[in-house]
Amino acid sequence: MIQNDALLRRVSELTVLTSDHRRAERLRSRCRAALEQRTSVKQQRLGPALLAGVGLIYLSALVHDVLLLRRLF
Amino acid sequence: MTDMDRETELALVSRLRDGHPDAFDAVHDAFNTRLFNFLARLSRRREVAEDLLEETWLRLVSRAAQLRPDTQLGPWLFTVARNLHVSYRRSRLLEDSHAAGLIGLWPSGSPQPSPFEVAAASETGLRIEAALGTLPVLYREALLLVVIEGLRPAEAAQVCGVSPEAMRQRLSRARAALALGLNSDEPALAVLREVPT
Repeated sequence: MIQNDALLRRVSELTVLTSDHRRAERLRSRCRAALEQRTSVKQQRLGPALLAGVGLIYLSALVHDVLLLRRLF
Repeated sequence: MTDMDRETELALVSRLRDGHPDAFDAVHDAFNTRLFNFLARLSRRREVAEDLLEETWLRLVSRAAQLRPDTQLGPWLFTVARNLHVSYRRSRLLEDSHAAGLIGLWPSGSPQPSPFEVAAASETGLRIEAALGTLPVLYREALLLVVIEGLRPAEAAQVCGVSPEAMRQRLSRARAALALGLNSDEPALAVLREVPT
């Protein structure tokens, strides 16, 4: 569509505008920091959840053994 | 103006969802200039475009974890940018006919355009830029998304929240309005106007 139309082709060739480089870099750093922080928070939340899971497995194994022992004696 | 293949895009979306900063860098490199051009020509104010651009990237970061695995980054980012501009216009009651500040569009961090930029902005280019600036926002955004940013009409329709057919009509009317807006005294532009759609 654009290639066959001289006016639209000319529009597509308009000068590329550039944003403020320093501001863009500051924003990039801010966004990177926000993502990194979110990832570390996620990992911090994962630790206790993992510990609780392992604890639950241990507890259920313990209950299982106690019930088994009661049946035997 | 980087185009990325779908496989790369999906990998980037996946890494963004996991919060990898390098994925953000890659998306920023690919879309920052495109989004700025879109917002600058849509708002016709450099400062507004810079603010909306910043807000667009912050939205991506805050919503990265909720992105769908099959998200198309281009349409997603342009949709956010466009919606932010709509909100801005509503909040400021910006008058569409207020065509000041075209000079403020010119790049970059410095207040004055560089000699290269002055040379690059040809007389015809400036005329088209001015005519584009006078178009109603609905027409302007259609031209910006499809003609300048290279989105497919269906993608542009998705960004603007209209049907593909409505977008095709808008594009056709936008092209006609742009041709009408160009000064008939300019021979070079008269040639451009005579080209049928």
